[in-house]
Amino acid sequence: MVRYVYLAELRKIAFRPLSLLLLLVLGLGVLYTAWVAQDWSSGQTLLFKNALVAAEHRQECAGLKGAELRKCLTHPSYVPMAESDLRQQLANDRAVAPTQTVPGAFGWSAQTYASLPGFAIALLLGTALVAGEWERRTATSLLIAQPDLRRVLLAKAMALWTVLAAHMIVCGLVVALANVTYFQSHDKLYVPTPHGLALAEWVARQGGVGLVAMAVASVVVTLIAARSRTRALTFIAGGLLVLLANMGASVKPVWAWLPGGILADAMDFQTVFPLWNHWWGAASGSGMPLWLRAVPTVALLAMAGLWLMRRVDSRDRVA
Amino acid sequence: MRVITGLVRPDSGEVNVLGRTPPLSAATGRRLGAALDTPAFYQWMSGQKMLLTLLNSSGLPDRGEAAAALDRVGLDGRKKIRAYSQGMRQRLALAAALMLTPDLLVLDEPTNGLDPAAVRGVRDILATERDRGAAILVSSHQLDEMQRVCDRLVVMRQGKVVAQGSREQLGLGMPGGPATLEDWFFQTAGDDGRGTW
Repeated sequence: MVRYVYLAELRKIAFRPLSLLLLLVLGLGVLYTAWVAQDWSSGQTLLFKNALVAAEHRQECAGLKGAELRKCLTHPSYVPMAESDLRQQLANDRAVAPTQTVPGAFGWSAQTYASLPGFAIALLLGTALVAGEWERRTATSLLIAQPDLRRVLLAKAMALWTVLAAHMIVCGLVVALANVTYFQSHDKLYVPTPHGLALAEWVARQGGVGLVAMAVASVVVTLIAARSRTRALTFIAGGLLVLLANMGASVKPVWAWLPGGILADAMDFQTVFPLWNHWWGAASGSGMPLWLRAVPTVALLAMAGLWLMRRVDSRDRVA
Repeated sequence: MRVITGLVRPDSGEVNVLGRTPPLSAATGRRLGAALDTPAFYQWMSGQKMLLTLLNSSGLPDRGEAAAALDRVGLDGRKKIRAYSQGMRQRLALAAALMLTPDLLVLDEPTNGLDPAAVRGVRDILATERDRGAAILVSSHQLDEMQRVCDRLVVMRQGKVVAQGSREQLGLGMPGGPATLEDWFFQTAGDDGRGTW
């Protein structure tokens, strides 16, 4: 039964100009960040390698070995290439390496959607196309046709999630195409690219967590929209929630137990790669099992969802 | 009417619609067709697509109901709703209400913004629906129209029921009685109408 309501909602949301515009913006954004990450990673490593080669050939360091060589190479007058720098650079490469593969492109896209840009898109779509129903009074027509409010909200959340997932896949396809046609040949990485099961696991994890994160965002924004019935309130409340979820990243022991930290750990947002730190807090690095730390988050989300649903259910359906 | 359709909860009292208390289940809801307020639809959709969306939203696939309903109200379903006049939107709302051949039809000012030919068309549709066995609840300020189409009249003034019954029970057209519902309304209300608008 929900299927038809869902299909109707999907048809309504998927091809709206706003939806297509956001897809275009995020598609270009994901492509640009993939290019920046791969180009930067490749360039930096090349820089270190060249500097290393240049330094190794310097007269002053010639013939030196071990600690003596390191001391000579890290001399302030030379290009800085201490071992820690090189280690960090290689870690950057390792974080970027999967994304240069065709399947890995979808992981890169999932990382974008499971962080600030993705939540912003979910919020904008939910605000305009779900909350807007009450302001435009189209909710009246819809709720007369389908009086079961829970079914309508479930269909709306599912449709929103499907649109976000489709956006994520399209963005992944764009990056995959760029990987094959440009990045792989122009931005050489200096660590082996993962393949086989390792790559499949990485992509499955990124994609799976990304889809779950978008599902949570879709349900939350739909419930807030149904509760507030106004675009402005939905946007403000949803925006505050996203900001709240991203707070506490600097206090690692606490962050490890917060919803934002659980997401960062599940996606394995890298501390070594600065780009993600701008869009979401980095992984906590906690030694506690993730599933155990996720229990409070799941309980919190379930309680918040039930509370919101009760608030929606207990009032008039239209103003 | 919003309480009947389950959109608003009653402050007090009870409402029974098709043997159920609103809000109705999806199955019972399909037996009710309603067109309330000034109808609002998705502007970017065509009339046909809008009806399909509403039909799907009620949990059903299209088996030609949308096209048939549009045909009944004489509307071009290919046109975008943003290009519809007020009267056309009113007819689209009526088409949406009729689409599932409901047992109960709830219509709020169904002839608002319609030209005389369309008013006659609505009147014919209501007669057909009544003959089919559907119960129809219509609210309107057009008393003459109501007198023509309704079997049973409920007159409300300032939110309160002041009278109800058939045309005969209200004495309309009877010797010595008021000729029209409008005459009856002002006579009963003790008001010649000048102070009410």
